[in-house]
Amino acid sequence: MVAAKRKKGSATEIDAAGVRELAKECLETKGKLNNIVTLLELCESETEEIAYASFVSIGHVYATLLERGDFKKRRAARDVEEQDDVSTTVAKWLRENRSVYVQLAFSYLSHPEPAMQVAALESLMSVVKDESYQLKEFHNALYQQVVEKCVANDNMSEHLLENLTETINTYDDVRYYFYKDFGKILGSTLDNRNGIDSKMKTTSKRRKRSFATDKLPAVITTGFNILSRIRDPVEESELGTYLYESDSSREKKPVVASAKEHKRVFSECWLAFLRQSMSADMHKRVLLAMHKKIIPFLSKPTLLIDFLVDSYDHGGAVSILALNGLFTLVTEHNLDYPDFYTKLYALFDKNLLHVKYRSRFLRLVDLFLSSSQLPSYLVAAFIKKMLRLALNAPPAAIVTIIPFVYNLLKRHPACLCLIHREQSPEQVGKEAEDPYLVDEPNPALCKALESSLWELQTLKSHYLHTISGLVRVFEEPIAKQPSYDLEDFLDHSYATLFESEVKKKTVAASPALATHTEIVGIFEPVGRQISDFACFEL
Amino acid sequence: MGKPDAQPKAKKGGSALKKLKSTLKEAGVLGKHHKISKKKSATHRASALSARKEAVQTLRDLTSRQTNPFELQFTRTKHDVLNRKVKGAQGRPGAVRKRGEENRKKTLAVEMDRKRKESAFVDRRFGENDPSMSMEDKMLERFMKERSKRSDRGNLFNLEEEDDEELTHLGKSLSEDAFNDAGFMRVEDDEDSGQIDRNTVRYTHFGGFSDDEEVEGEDGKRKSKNEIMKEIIAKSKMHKRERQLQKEQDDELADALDAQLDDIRNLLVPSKTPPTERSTTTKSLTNEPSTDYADYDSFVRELAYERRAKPTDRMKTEEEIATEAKARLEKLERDRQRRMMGLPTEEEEHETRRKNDFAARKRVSQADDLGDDDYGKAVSVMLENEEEKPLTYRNGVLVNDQVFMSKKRKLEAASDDEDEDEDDEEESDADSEQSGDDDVNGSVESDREDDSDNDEEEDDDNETEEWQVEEIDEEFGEAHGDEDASQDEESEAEESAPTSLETNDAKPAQPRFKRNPDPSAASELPYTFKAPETHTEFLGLVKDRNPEDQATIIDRLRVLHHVSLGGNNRKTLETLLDILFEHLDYLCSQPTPSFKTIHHLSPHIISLSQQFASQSAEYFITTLTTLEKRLLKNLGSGKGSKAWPDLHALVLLKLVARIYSTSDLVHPVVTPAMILIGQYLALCPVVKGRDAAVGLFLCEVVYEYETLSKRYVPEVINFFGNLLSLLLPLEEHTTQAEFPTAPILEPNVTSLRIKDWSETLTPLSLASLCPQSEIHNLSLLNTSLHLLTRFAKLYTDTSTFSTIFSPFLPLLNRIPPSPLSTPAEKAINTIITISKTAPLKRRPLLLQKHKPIPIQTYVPKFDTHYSIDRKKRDPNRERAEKAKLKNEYKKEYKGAVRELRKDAAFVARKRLVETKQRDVEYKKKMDKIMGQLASQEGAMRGYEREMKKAKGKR
Repeated sequence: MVAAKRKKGSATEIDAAGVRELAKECLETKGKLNNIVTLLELCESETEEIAYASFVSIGHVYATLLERGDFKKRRAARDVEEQDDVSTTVAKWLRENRSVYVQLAFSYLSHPEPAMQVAALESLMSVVKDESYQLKEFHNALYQQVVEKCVANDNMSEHLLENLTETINTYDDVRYYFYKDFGKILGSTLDNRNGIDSKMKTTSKRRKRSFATDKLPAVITTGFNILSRIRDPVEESELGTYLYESDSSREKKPVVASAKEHKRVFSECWLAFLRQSMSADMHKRVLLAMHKKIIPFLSKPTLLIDFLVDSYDHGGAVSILALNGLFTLVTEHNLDYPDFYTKLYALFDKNLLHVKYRSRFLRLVDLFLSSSQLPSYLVAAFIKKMLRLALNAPPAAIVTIIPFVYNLLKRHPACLCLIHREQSPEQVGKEAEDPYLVDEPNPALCKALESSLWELQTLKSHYLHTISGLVRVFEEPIAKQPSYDLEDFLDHSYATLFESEVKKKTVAASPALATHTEIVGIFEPVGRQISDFACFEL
Repeated sequence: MGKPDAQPKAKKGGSALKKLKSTLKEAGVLGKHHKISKKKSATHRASALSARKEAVQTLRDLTSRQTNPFELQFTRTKHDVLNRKVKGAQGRPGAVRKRGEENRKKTLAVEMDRKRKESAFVDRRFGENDPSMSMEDKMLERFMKERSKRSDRGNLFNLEEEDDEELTHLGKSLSEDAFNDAGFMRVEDDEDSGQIDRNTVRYTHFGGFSDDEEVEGEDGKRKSKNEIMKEIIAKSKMHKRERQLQKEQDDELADALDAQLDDIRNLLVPSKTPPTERSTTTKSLTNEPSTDYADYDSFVRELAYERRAKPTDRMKTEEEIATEAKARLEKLERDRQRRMMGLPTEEEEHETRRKNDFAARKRVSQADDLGDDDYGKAVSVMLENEEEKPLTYRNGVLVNDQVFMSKKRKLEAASDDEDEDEDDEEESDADSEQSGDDDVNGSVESDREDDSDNDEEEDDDNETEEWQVEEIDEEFGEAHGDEDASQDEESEAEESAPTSLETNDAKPAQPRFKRNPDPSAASELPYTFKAPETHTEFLGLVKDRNPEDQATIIDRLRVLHHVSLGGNNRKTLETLLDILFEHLDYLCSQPTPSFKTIHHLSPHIISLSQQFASQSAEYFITTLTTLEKRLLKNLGSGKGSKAWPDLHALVLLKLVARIYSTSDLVHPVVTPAMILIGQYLALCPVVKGRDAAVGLFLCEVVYEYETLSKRYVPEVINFFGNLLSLLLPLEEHTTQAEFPTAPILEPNVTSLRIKDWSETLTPLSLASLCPQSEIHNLSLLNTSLHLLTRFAKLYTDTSTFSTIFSPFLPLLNRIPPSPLSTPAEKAINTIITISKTAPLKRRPLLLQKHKPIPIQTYVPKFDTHYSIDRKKRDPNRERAEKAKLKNEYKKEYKGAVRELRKDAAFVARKRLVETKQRDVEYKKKMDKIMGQLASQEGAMRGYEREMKKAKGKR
């Protein structure tokens, strides 16, 4: 105690080497155990370096002590009680100190310094491990707190995230409990929010676990970050790496060894997650991950229907993204979705060809419209709508749309009247507006089949020669040409188009020059552009 | 008897005997025969005999003509066709065999009989049996023998060539007539040919055969020999005299012609031989003809080789110049149109078509060909490349005998004519200088050329300096366009300096600078500058000068280092262009850029860029790529509004429109530039006034690009929609700007919204393109309305016009009454009017209107030359002929084999008969001998018996 005090007095001047020295002393001589207190105090020091050093040192000290057995409750309590009362006291003291240390570690999880966070997590995980071995089962109570602190972390650093997910990915039981705990936390949050917690017999502990509503978006974001990084659930045979290895003597298989259980907690966790209200951005991110990371591993994918249908009806980019998951459900899980095509048609709005999910969406639409059994009015409506949108679309989108339309026309010869309509003599000269109704949401009523694809004519004079060249193909006998492989056209952008133009080997030796009869300054109109109004005055 | 064929058919029923009888009866053979009696008188008997003979003959004819049906052989046809005659359907094998037999008896049998019984022909021709001699040797030897034999025989007195052989050239006979026709009449002393007249021979040789025919004189008296001889002599003398006279006259004429030769020569080769030279040649021709014939010959040869005299170029009239200019412009426009459609230009197409033609029709090979396939091609290529250049004389000496007949450089088709003009003019200029022509203008021009040649002199020559520079200045505007036209030409010009700059007078259609001459400014500036090597040097040059002066400085730099002046000027100008580009960047990056300077410098950049098209294209492509990268970087880092291009980029994009043909479907510079503009307009959000101004400037640039081709640029339409939505008041019940057909990148921007509509309208200036410039939203709206109207007019012919532009109408209707109502009104009216007319032009598409593919027909194919006898007609004539020949050969072969077989059989038969006959004869002979022997033996035995009897008796 004296020494501790002495040390405490000089604590402010101590450096990292000194900290290590303290820890060493503590381990070498039993009497110096009080150094732990000093170290714990040092942990809260202002200087991050010292704090870090002392924190790591304490972790090391505890680990060594535990290894030596100074720590063990059992031994202290049962075997050596009579003989060595001192050691019992020491052990008790040590344990107390350790709980302080654990609390400290929890607080450090949200330390601004990433290294500190990582160290805290590591030490926490080792504590969990140790405790688990003492308990002879996974110490979930402690781990649950770890999970809670982690997801509710305000300044979650990239390193912590990495470390956390690495642990989760490495140990199957850790992953299992993470899903379980996180799902529980989310569930309780939802209950709280919905006000149904009163009905439930919620313990104070549980209430504590739920978050304040204002913190929720952060939790969701962090949670998703972690969830998206966790590796996909695996088959039962591949399970086998555990943080806490249970005795093989036990006959009953632990829950963590069952893939089915894993699947169950996975589903529960995700479903709880999806029930949360999400920001638009998060919504999109979830949907992006949906068909690859979630649906295949759910025990009952059909449970996603609500979420997906809600998303699909959401409108905008979210709908587009929900389409993918919905498609998986429809095709693989026998979901019957009424008015699917009508809703799909409604997705074609002015933004569609401008968003970056364009190619992804069009890929799916291509899939949906690939059936040759679709009614021609429907296909015609889609064709007309797409071309109408293409009138205001960037060239990269038009480059996709035109082969798309071409393939559709080829697949549905009944729609050929869109590009070729012989008029009866009495109709000639009575041309009115385009009969197509753009704003009609129902493809059956939009009169697309009565229209003609004049948009193609306009696009034929598009400034990009690639597009006009593509349009020209419509003039050739459509039955004889092969269909386009849409993949070649989907992933274009301004950048790729520009690059292909610049890299093109010029055919002519020198570029064609202007033929103005006189050369004037650039801010003076020339040739046929002379008009009464100058847009910019010199 | 009339129709022997019809008879048997009529009486088909009867037996062969009956038929024979009836036939004989009809022939009248049977009836008469019985009436001949042995008791008639001798005359009767004779007549009867003759009748019998006749009957026998008739019978023979009859039997030969009327064949026994059993001797006929029929080939049954499968399908009987009326009136069809099949060869070989009916045959008479017996008759044929008989005929063959008879033929063989006549030929083969005779031959066999004669075999080894007659002498044979022995070929004793020279060397015939000598295998060591070749055919030619044999022929030669025989010919020699023949000749010697003939000469031995000696047709001494035959003056005429005996044989009919005639020498020919080019298939024509080289006889006297041909020679005479060619104008090479043999001038001989004797009028007649070498032969002595027939009459002469008759009357004079060997004392004449006067007895045969009397020759009478004019007085009817017979002439004496003496008289005749005298007459002959007199005649021959007269002829001789006449010929001499003729010859003298000819000589005189030739002399006269010789005297005039130089005049003619002058006509043929105008002003090539100077007068002094001419007199000497004349002298030499007249005085010492023998020695100078070589000279004359060479001259004749030159004349033969040289081009025929052709008229010198006259000055072109105003009209012609105008038409030429018009034609040139039209051609340029046609080319542009073709490029707009994405087709190759006319020349390119001609070239390819010509190549294709070559491939298509190769010249049919002829007898004179040397067997190389490419002969025809080679000839035409040779003709194309190897154009005779006129001989050029200077001081009577052939100056370009090295170049003569050398391959002409291949020039671009466009510059071909100009080149030639230039060449000609060059020559004529040189000529006129040499010949000391005192034409005032000519001398001034040539002086000027000299001056422009050696511009170093100008520095010394202070007095004339100004005048010269001005002169050059004037020309320059015309001259520079020439270089633009083709680079090859420049290189040529470098080779053949001095080039007369005024040749370009003929090309008024070339772009000219529109320049306001500022004599006061020009007078202050120095006239010569050192060409800057770096941008810093250039900055020193133009420092503290006003924009016009800067332009003048560059102008003078360009004149001083005009490419046609040779030397390193091309390089200098290229450096100048680089410097100008750099300077442009420098000007644009100034805090307050001088738009006037940029404006004045731009024409030089434009024309220099056009002059060095590939260099500038490279610069533009690199810069555009950099701009694109920067844009992507800015967009990626979330600085959307900062992504709008800076002034330099804007100026460059504008320059592109002036330098290059923006209406092309594909263009190495314009297409990327256009994509870049589209990218700017589509991806950069409009947040503040400068963004809007830059966007509008880009729209104007796009308008300039697409004025001619009227291509659709959706980005521009979207930008207008965005901008107008942001500028104009919001619609009711909406919180953010919205445009029905396109998304708005930053819909919540409010800084652009016009609140005060009563502000005074200030036109948008270029300064608004600089960052931190004050821009009135009202002027933005004004400009965008004007531009929108322009674009609406540009897209009048678009079939989806109303679809594209109708979303603007509700927007525009939101403009409250203000100074801007007028342009708004105008825009609305334009859109509405065009929208109304647009449906009238709109017909349902007929894109799949192709020539229908005919349904397969099953109507039989008719062959007009069909014949059932011919199995099939091979359309390939050659193959058909070959097959025919093969068939014939096969037939002949088979026939020959058959004949040979029959011959062999005949021979065998004949031999058998002969053998048999011989055997019979032998047997007979042997029998005879044996008989004789037997009788002898018998006789001898009888004798012996007698003797025995007798002995026994004794």
